Amino acid sequence: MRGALNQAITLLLLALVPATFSAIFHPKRPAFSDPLREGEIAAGDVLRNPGQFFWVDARPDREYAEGHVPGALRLTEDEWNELVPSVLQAWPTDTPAVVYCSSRQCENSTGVARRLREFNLGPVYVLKGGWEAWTRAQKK
Amino acid sequence: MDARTEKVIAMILRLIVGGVFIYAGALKALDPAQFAVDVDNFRLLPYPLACAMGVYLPWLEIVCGAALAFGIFRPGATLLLAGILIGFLIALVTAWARGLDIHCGCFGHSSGKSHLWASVLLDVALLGAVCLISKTSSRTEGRRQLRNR
Repeated sequence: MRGALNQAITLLLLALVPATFSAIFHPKRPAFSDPLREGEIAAGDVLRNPGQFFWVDARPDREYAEGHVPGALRLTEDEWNELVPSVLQAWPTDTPAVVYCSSRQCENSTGVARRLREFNLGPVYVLKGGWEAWTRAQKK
Repeated sequence: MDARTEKVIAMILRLIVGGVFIYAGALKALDPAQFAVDVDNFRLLPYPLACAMGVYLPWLEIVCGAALAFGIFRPGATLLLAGILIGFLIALVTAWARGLDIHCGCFGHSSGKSHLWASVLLDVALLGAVCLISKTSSRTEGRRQLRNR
């Protein structure tokens, strides 16, 4: 087993050599900075224009109660029918909506944003990095 | 099954599995930026780490695939390949469970239209083959040591 581990470490190091060259010289190497996906907005951009967005919180009730973006209304896909009427009523026409969930790994904001876009009340964005990115950006 | 047949089957398996990894790694190494996007789509890693994986993983597959096919550092290569396959399996199953509408990127752009469940099946088949290779290799090694005594 020890021999296999030593061999595995050697192979790991061996692969590091061409990978390093690839990271530096490959014409199609990835840019290591995080790009915005289609329909996403960065917390920094939102903070530069405060008050110009309609906020939708796609997190569970407990997390919302612990803290949320001022003025944000809760809306999740699980509770869509109960919560969507109040959201649609509060959403000022042509005001961009920003939907967020807990972090970069959560999927709820994407689903809620997709369904909100179907109403054509204004642009709908997903906050990149969610609540985590929002609180981090505010500390800066 | 006699020792000779077992050895031949193990060698064929090694060539097939090693070849699959060399092919898959080479396709991804040709376009590391695309593979980094594929890794990022699983939303399991921070983006810079997904980029690092996008660059490193294809070369690790090529190196391990070549080691397996040529019979160099075989135990180490099977250990790493099993680890890579288990990692892929976890990523695929969690993506499936989270309902992510993505493709696995296992064979670079050519896997664009494959379903996640098909990738899971291929992953499990490769993992089975790697385990079999490891088992037969250790049995052959045991026989060789017995003969040498």
